[in-house]
Amino acid sequence: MVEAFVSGFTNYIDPLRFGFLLLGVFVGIFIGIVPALGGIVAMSLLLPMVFGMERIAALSMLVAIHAISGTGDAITSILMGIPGSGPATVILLDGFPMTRKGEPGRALGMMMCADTMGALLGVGLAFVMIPIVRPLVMSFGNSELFLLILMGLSFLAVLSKDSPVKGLMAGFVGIFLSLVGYQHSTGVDRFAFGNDFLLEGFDIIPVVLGLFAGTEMLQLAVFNETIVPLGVVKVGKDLRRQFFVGVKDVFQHKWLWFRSCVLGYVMGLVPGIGSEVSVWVSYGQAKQTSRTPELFGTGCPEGIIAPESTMNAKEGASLVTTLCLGLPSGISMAILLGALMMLDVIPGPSILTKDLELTMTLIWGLAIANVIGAVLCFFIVGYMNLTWLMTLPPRILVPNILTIVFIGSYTYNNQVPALLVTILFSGVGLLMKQWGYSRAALILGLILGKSFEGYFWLALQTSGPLFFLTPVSLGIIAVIIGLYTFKPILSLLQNRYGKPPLMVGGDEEV
Amino acid sequence: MAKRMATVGIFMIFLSLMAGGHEVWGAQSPEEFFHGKTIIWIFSGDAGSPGDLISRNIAPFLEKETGAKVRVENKKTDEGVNFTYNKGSKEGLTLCTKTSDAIIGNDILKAPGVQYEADKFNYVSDVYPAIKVFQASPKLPYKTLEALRKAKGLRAGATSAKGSLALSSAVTFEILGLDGKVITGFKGKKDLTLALARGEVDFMVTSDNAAKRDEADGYIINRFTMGNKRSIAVPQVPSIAELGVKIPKDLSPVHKFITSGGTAVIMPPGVPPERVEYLRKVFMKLSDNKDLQKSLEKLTGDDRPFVPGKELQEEMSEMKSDAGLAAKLDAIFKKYTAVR
Amino acid sequence: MKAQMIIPLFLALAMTWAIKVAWGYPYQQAKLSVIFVAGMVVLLALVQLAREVRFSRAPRSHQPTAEAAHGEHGGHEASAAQYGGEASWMGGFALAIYLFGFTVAMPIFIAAYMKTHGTKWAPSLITGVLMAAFCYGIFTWFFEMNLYPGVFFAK
Repeated sequence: MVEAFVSGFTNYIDPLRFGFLLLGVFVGIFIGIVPALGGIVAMSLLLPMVFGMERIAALSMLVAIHAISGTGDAITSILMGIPGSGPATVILLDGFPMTRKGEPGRALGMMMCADTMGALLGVGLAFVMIPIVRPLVMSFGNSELFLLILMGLSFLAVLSKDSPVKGLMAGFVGIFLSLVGYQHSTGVDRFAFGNDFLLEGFDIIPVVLGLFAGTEMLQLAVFNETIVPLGVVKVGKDLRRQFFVGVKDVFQHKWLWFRSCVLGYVMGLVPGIGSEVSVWVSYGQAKQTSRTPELFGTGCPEGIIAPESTMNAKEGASLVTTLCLGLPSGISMAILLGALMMLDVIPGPSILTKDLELTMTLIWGLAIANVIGAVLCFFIVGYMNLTWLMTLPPRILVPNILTIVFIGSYTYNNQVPALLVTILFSGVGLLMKQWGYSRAALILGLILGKSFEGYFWLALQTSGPLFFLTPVSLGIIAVIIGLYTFKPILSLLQNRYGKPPLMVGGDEEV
Repeated sequence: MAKRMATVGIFMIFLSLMAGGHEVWGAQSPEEFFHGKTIIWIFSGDAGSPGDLISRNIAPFLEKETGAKVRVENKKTDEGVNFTYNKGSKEGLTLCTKTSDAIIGNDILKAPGVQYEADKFNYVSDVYPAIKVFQASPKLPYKTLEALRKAKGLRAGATSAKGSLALSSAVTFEILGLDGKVITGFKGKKDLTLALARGEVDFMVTSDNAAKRDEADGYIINRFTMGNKRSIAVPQVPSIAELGVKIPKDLSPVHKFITSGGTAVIMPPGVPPERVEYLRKVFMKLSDNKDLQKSLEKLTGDDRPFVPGKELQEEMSEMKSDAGLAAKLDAIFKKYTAVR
Repeated sequence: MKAQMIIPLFLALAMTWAIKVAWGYPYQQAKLSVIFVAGMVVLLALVQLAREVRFSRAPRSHQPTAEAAHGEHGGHEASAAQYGGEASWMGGFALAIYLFGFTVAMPIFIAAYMKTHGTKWAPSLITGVLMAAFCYGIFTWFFEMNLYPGVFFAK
């Protein structure tokens, strides 16, 4: 195991392999930055090329694209308020407000640092987790998945602390929207009335693009504002300085970062938990444990560090599950699985004996790609002077951004009615923002609602009404209860004993 | 002046005849037609799924054979098939891949959103003819057919209601005389494989494309195949015919339905027959292409030959013309579904 | 009626209708989730309506939006007409895409928007053409994605 760990890293001394990894990073950043594209597009296009290539070079390129496209997503989310994917929406909640306050470099620095450190931690965690990944995955069944999603949904209450009734309403509306469409388990058409488009349900990307990007563009146009107020951010030097402030922020919140990474890693090991679930759970637990939860949504560092750390740690874990169990956790992992087979690598439990070095090489590839991505991002932000984009007047910015938004909305599933969804939700987002309803809660409900219902019925049918009595399920229930009771208990203890509380939260004190 | 007008007129007539002449005086041969064109090959499902990977593997070889450029695109499940039927190129520049039992099943069972008639497609080939295998959970204590027949409350796993997995499981219950329910709602075959490994469900009846690998990884145990033949992927697994199971005559159509299945490549209705025939021949040629088969073997685990499109066409027409098939399938599914 | 009451009232009515529709579904598995979720929305909407009626004392004309109350946009508010004007551009763009496809609609929309909002003709046209070329180059040519060709240009 140790030998494989070391040779996994030294495999990248080879210029060909490093070169393809680098190519993957460039492609991944480019694709991620353009909101309408995603890692899946690039990976499926490059897949036929893989046949006949040197296998580590080929696989490293695909892994790098997958790793960095999420980072690129987050860059546009932070700088322009355009989320290119579900997880990037969470980053937007605090990343974009931070940009609007004139600190885009800080948000990006935090994002890249959390990403890179998360990926590096993932290498170490893989070393520990690989031997136990199979029993861990086997212990998470429908009951456990249902309770994990319930934990995610419980954060509806946390997200909407300012106005719980409005927030919960938005969340439940999101859940309702997730139920629209063809219910596969029963064959019933719910509220689609036979319409082809609605039968598939509401896709997350057109909704998110409307709710956030569309709404922001409408407001920039009406109020004639730039993304960043003019004169607040000067040029590259300011951004570079901000970048390092962001890096420092991560170190100041190291326990939050570590906790979020571990959370992401564990959730990433289990197929069935999408990226969206884990980043929302991470965001929710960061807000719940923060000393300043009221700052979330206004450009709070914890609101960026937690989901970004989780997202990247999760990718490392998904890779481990895909390689070691042969079970892809998503479409991009399914493509990677296909590539593995085309290159004569049989993923599954046997990889631990026959190809452990390759497994560690790819995990190292993920980490190295993130380091290179961070450096690249620093140069893009600090030396290419992208602030001009954020200070463009709305008469120039709005039509161009809307073009990208509409392309993103259409190309997600090549459906024209998706444009109507985006426009509709731009209006909805506007009303929600004006009257204090949480858009984040609606999105959380939309993302988790269908899985929540699906896993509930599966758990009930496979394990009966007492499905929650497994050890892991009870553990998750305990975590949920703990998340919501530890603060009141701490306050109670403080009142009783008159001592300052031990903070186990987003800050560095323990 | 008149001379000039006549010259121009003759020249115009000549140009238009050149432009459209080949349509009037004799069609291009299919080889000439496809050369230099772009074929859009739609996979009706997610990127990275077995059918998608098979299509992407075949595409470069198809390019070499036909001289056309082949572009693989993904569309959501039924949307791809609907698109192919209604908006696909009538000239023959649209292909679509979808499992054949899903194409016919969704049509005859009138699944919501279906906008096609399965027998009207032009079937080019079956690029991965599958055998249905009864895959049991390693935690299931019943190892033989007799033991399974004595068991109560077996749980079969499936994805969509009235989808291929659900119907196959329901018909299996009926044919083998088993007691239990079909639990639908799993997101995909991989989720089902995990559920089997955990013991959350007891079995599923599915195509054999990952049968060998999943058994080697310890997730499932292949017990028997549902037809009269063994699977090339797991040749050691007996068929139910070998185990002495006789299919009652009234259940023969539904049994045939669940055992016929593969990865169909289809073209829209209305494509000139000579072009359909040409592509059928091309695909059969590809079936013998050693490099392609080697590539497919890496993906699927074996190098089974393609089934000719004509054979598949006849099979689909036969199933579609069976007026009682849908009602029988519906009744059997309702009998065994766990949905209330 | 105060503007803030419209959303909860609309939701209460819509979800009541949804419950009625869901009641007719054939399976418990199909109807129970919908009824529960829609029921929760109705309940929460009624609570919110009651709060709006009971606790809101400020006259309608002085009730700020949540954003203005938080000091966003310099505390200014915009009228529905202003938002409607900008939203109609989005609608028009979507219609142009539907009719003429992305490749034609993009430069026209960008140029028209920029010109009507105060930019000169030359930069408006150049920006529109460049953006359309960029999008075409990246999506259609490089990634071979199909951008919708529009009703008029569809084969």
